[in-house]
Amino acid sequence: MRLHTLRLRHFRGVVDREVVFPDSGVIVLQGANEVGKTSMLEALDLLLNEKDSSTKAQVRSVKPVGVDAGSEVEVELTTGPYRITYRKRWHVRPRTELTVHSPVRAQLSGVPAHERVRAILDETVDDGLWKALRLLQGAPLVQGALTGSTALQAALDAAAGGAGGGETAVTGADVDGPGAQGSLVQAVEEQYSRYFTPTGRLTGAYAHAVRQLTEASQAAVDAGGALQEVTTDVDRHAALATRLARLEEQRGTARADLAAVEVRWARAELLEAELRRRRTEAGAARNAHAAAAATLRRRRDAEADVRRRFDAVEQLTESLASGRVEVRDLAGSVAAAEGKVASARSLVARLRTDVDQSREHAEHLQDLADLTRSDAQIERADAALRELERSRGRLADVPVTGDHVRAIERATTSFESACARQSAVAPVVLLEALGHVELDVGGERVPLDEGDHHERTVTGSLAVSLPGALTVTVRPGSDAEGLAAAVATAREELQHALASAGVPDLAEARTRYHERRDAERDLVTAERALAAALGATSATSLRRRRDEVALRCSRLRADRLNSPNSPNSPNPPDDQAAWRGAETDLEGAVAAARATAEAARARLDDAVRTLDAVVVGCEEGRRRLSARTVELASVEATLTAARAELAGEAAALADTRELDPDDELIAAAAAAREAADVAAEAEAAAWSALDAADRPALEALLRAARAAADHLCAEWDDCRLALAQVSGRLESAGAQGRQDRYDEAMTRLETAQRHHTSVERRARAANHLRSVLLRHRDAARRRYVAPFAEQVTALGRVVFGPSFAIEVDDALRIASRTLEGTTVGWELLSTGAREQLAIITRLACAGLVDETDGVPVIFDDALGYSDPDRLSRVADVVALAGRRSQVIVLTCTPDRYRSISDATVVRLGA
Amino acid sequence: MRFLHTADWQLGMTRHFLDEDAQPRYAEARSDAIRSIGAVARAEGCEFVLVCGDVFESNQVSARVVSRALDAMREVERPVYLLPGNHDPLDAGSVYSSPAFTSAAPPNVHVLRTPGAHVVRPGLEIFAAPWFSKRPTRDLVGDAIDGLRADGVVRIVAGHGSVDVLSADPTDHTRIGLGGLESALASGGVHYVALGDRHSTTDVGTSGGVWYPGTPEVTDYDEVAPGNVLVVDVGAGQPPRVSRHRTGRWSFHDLAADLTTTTDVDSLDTTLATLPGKERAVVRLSLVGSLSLPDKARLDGVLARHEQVLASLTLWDKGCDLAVYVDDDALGELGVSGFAATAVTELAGQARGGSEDAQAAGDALSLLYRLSGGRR
Repeated sequence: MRLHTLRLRHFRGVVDREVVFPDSGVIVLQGANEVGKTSMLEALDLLLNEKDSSTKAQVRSVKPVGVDAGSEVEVELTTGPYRITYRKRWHVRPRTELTVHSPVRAQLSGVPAHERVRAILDETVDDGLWKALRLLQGAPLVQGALTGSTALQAALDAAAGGAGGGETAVTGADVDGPGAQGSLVQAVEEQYSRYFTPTGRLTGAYAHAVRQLTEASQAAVDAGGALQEVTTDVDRHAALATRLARLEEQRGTARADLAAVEVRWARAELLEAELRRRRTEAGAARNAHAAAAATLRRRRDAEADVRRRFDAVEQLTESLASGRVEVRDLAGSVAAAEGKVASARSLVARLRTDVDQSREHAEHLQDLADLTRSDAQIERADAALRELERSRGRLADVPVTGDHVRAIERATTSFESACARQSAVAPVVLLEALGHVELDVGGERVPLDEGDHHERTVTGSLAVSLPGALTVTVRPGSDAEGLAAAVATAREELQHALASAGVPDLAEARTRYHERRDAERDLVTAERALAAALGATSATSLRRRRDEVALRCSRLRADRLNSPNSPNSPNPPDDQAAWRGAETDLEGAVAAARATAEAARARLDDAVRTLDAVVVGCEEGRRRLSARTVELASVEATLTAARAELAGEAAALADTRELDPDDELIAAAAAAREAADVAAEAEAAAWSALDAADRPALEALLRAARAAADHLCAEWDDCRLALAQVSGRLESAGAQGRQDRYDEAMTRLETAQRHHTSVERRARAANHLRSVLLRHRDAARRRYVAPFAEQVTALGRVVFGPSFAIEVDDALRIASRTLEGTTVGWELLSTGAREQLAIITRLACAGLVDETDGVPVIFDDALGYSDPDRLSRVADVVALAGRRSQVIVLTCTPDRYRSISDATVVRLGA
Repeated sequence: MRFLHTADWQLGMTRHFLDEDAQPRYAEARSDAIRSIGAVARAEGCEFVLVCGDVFESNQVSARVVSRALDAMREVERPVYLLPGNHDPLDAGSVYSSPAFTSAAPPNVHVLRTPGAHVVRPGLEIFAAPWFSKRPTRDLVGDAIDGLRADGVVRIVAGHGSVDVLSADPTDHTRIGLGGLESALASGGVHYVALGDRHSTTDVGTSGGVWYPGTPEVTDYDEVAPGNVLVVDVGAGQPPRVSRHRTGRWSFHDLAADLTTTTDVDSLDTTLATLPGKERAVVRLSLVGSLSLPDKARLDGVLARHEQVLASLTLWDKGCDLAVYVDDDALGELGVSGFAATAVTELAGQARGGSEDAQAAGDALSLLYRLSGGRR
C-alpha cells in the first residue's frame, strides 16, 4: 500500500489540510506540537476501518469543537492492483465515496463502498505488517508482532531460498494473497478449540461425547446387571426347586424313621414304668426287712443295756463299800495326826518357857554383872572425886600463880636495879647501933642492938629519929631525889606485887608457887582417875544406870521370891553379894546361862518344825478324808440312780418281751428278708428287660431321628421361603421389562459410542492437523530468522558499525545485540539503542517484503533518544529504505531528520 | 392338513446400531410380521400357526411388547401354538408365566408348556419339546420323539435348537440328532419336524420333512435367507409339502467396496442409491483402498447423503482400511504455501503409511481440505 494524498477537513483541530506524498523517498511531516500530526494517522485508520454511521467514541472525539460541520477524510492510495480514492464524512451528513481508478474503474458509495474497501484491503494489505511497521510516539518500544505478517513471511520465505515448498509457497502466497496462511492456522486453531482447551484438556463436543459415553456405559452396565440378576435368579429358582423336591423326599423318609423309632421308644417307656413299679416294691420290701431287723436289734440292745446296767450297779456297790472302809481308815489316821499335833504343841510351849527362863536368868546374871561393874566404877569415881576435891582445896590455899611469881620477880629486879642506881648515887646512911636503940628510920622502927649495923641508902629525905632523942634527916642531893623516887616507885610496885600474891617476898612467892604446882598436878591426876572411872558416861548417868540395874535385880529377886523356881531353870546365886569378888565367875555364869538359853532355843525350834510337819500331815489327811467322803456320797447317789434306772429298764424289757416274744421277732425278720430278696429279683428282671431295650441307644436314635426330621423340615421351610422370595423377585422383575431397558441402554451406548468415535476422530484430526501445522510453522519461522537477521544486520551496520550483530528468536524478535564483541540482551539495551533497533527492524521488514505487499513505514517523532551521530546514521538508513518503501516521518523537531537525503519536507500549519 | 410353520420372532429385539429414528420402526416391524403371518395363514387356509421357539427375544421383555404381540396374535384368528425356546424358556422368570402374558393371552394362543403330545384335534398332534431353561443338557427333541410309532395320528414335532449336521460344536449336548428325526419320519410316527432357532430358512437333511422356517423379519447381516414363513401340507402316508412365503420387509446389507478412484466412489454412490426399501435397509460398509483428498471428500459427501436416507449406514471398523493421499494437484488445489504446504506433505506421508497416525493424518488432511475449501 502506498499513500498518494491524504486530506483532512474539520478533523479535530485541523480545518482543512491536504498532504501530497511523493512517489518515492522519505516524507517528513513537520509541525509544532498540537498541530495535528498524529491526527493524520488516526484519520487514516478511521477512514479505513469505521463506517460513516459509526458513533464510536473514537469517531465522536474527532469532531471539531464549535463547528457545525462533519469531519471528513479523503485518501488516494494504491494497494495491490488497486488505485482508489476514498472519502468519508462523519457526524454531519455522513457519506462514503469510493472511486476505483484501476484496474477496473468503478464508483461506489455508502456501505457497499465501505465494504468494497474492506475487501480490497483484506485482499491486499497485510494487516499485521501495517500495524507492525509503525513506530508511534509515546507507544512503548515493544517489538512488533512480525510473525503475524504473511507478506513478511512470504518475503522471508523467498529470502530463505524456497525451503520447504519453494515456488509453490511463493505461488501460494501470490494466489492466496497475504494473510491466507495466518487465517488457515486460525481456522485450525478454531477447529482444535472445539475439542480441546488451550492446555490440551478435552472440551466442548468431545468432552460431552466422552461424558455421554461414560454415562451410557454405566447405564448399560447397570441395565446388564439388572438383567443378569434375573438370569441368576432364574438359575437360583431352578436349583431351589430341585432342592425343595429332594428335601420333600428326605423329609418323608425322616418322618417315617422317626415314627418307627417313636414306637420303639413307647415300648421302652412301658418297660421303664414296670421297672419303676418293681423298684418301688423292692424298696418297700427292703424297708420292711430293715424294720424287722431293727426291731430285733433293738430287743438285743435293750437286753445288753439291762445287763450292762446291772453290772454297773454291782460295780458301784463294790466301790461304795471299799470307799467307806477307806474313809474310816482316813478318819483314824487324821485323829492320830491330831494327837501328834497336840503333843508337839505342848512340847513347844514347854520349851518356849524353858527358853524364856533361861534367857531371863542369863539376863539377870548379866544385870548382876553390870551392877557389880557399875559399883566398882562408882567407887573409883568417888575416890577420884575426893582426890579432886582435895587438890582443888590445896589450889585454893595457894593463890600464888606463876604470873604472881613472874610479876614479883620483875618488880624485885626493877627495885634492886633502882636501889643499885640509888646506892651508886644516893648517900648511904650507915647506922651502927652502939647499944640497943630503937630508932625510927624513915618512920620505921628499927631496933638495933649493940654492934648491929643498919645501913640505909638515902633515896629521899630520910628521917632517922631516935625516938625522943633526935631525928636526923638525911636528904640526898637532887639526883638522889630522882633516884630515890624511882626506888620508891619500884618499891611500891614490889610491894604491890607482893601484896597481890599475899606473900612477903619473892622466895615465899616462889615456894608458894611450887606448892601450887604440885596441887595442880594432883588435880590433873585426880581428874584423870575420875575420867577413867567414869569412861564415857557421866557420873550421874552411871549412877542412874546402876540404880536401874539394881532396881531390875531387886525386882527379879522379888519375883523370884514370889514364884518358886521352875524345875528346869538354873538357879545361880542372884544376890549381888554372892558374887562379890567373883566377877570373873559371874561373867562365866552369864556365858553359861546364855549357852543354856541358846540350847533351849534350838530345842524349841526343832519342836516347832516338828509341829509344822505334823500339822501339814494332819491337814493333808483331813483333805483326803473330805474328798473321799464327797466321792463316796457321789458314788452313793449314782448307785441309787443306777439302781432306779436298772429297775425301770428291766421292767420295760420285761413288758416288751411280754408283748413280742423274742422268737416271734426273729421269725418276722427272717420272713421280711425273704420277701425283700424276692422283690429284688423282680427288680433285677425288670432292669434286664429295660437293658435289653437299650434305652440310651434308643433315645439317641430318637433324638437323632427328631433332629433329622426337624432339620429337614426347617431346611424345607427355608428352601420354600427362598423359592418364594426368588419367585417374588422374578415376578416383579418380569413386570419391569428389564430386557427392554437393557436394549435401550445398549442402544444409547451404541449411539454414544458411535458419536464418540466420530467426535474423537474429528478431534484427533484437528489435533493432529494443528500439531503438524504448528510444528511446520515454527520450523518455518526458524528458517525466516536468517534472512530477517541478515537484513537487520545489513541496516544495523550502517548505524552501529561493522561489528554489529544480532540474535533473532523464532518470533522474529531481536533477542540481543552484539557490538564490539559485547552482547547485550534486548531488555538491557539503552532506550536509544532500542529505538534505533526498532526503526532498523521496521525498515528491514519494509525492505524485505514484496513491493506490492508493502505498506508505509511510519515513524511518529521517533529517535528522541538518539545522539546526533547516531541520528545522522539512522537518517542514512531511513533514506536508504525510502528508496524502496514509502516512509512517513512525523516530527516536531525537524533537525532530527534534516540529514535524510531525498526527503520531502512538508510543513504543517494549523 | 395345512398349517403355518414359523419361528424366531424375537419379539422385543432391538438393534443397537439403529438410530433413534430407525429403532422404533424396526421394533414395529417385528410385531407387524405377526400380522403378515396372520395374513398368509388366512390366505393359505392354514389350520393353525406353529411358532417353534424364541417367540420373544427374552423372558424380560416389557409388558408393552407382550401385550402388543398378543394383540397381533389374536388377529391371526387361528390357533397359535407357541413353543418356548432358548430365548424364552419356561423357567421361573418365563414370560409365559408373567401376568402380562397370562392376563392378556387370547383364547387362540396356546403355549406348549409340556413336553410330548398336544392334541390339536383328534388325529392331529403337535409333539412338543419346550425349553425349560436356557441351558438344557440334552437333546430335548430326541428325547420327546423317542419311541413314537405310526399309529394313525398325524404328528408334527415342534422343537428348537440346532441340528447336529448344521452345528459345528460337537460338545453341544443339546444338538438335535438329525438321524433320530429322519428315522422317526421314516417310521411314520412323525410326519413333520418343525424346528426353530436358525434364522435362515433351511431344509435340513434330505427327508424334506425337517425344516427351519427362519425368522420372519431379518435380525442380522449374516442371515442367508431370512424373512420367510413356511406353509406346510402334511398328512399320513405322504411327504410334507412345504412352501415359503415372504414376510420380511427389512433388509440388512453387508457391502464391501474397494475405492481408489473417483469412479469407485461414484459407483458406491450408485449402489447405495439403488438399494430397495432404503428406509428399511440397514447397511454396513467395509471400505478399503486409498483415495485422493478430493475423492475422500467426495466419499464423505456420498456417505453423509445416504446416511440421511437409509435406516442405518455404518462403516465396519474391522472391514475398513481406507487411506487418503495427497498429490501435487491436490496440494495445489488446497492452495497452501510455505509451512502449511510442508505440513500437508508430512500429513500425506503419514496418511499413506500404515502407522497409527494414518487415519488421523487422513482425517487431518480431510479437515484441512474442508477448511481451505470452505474458504474458496
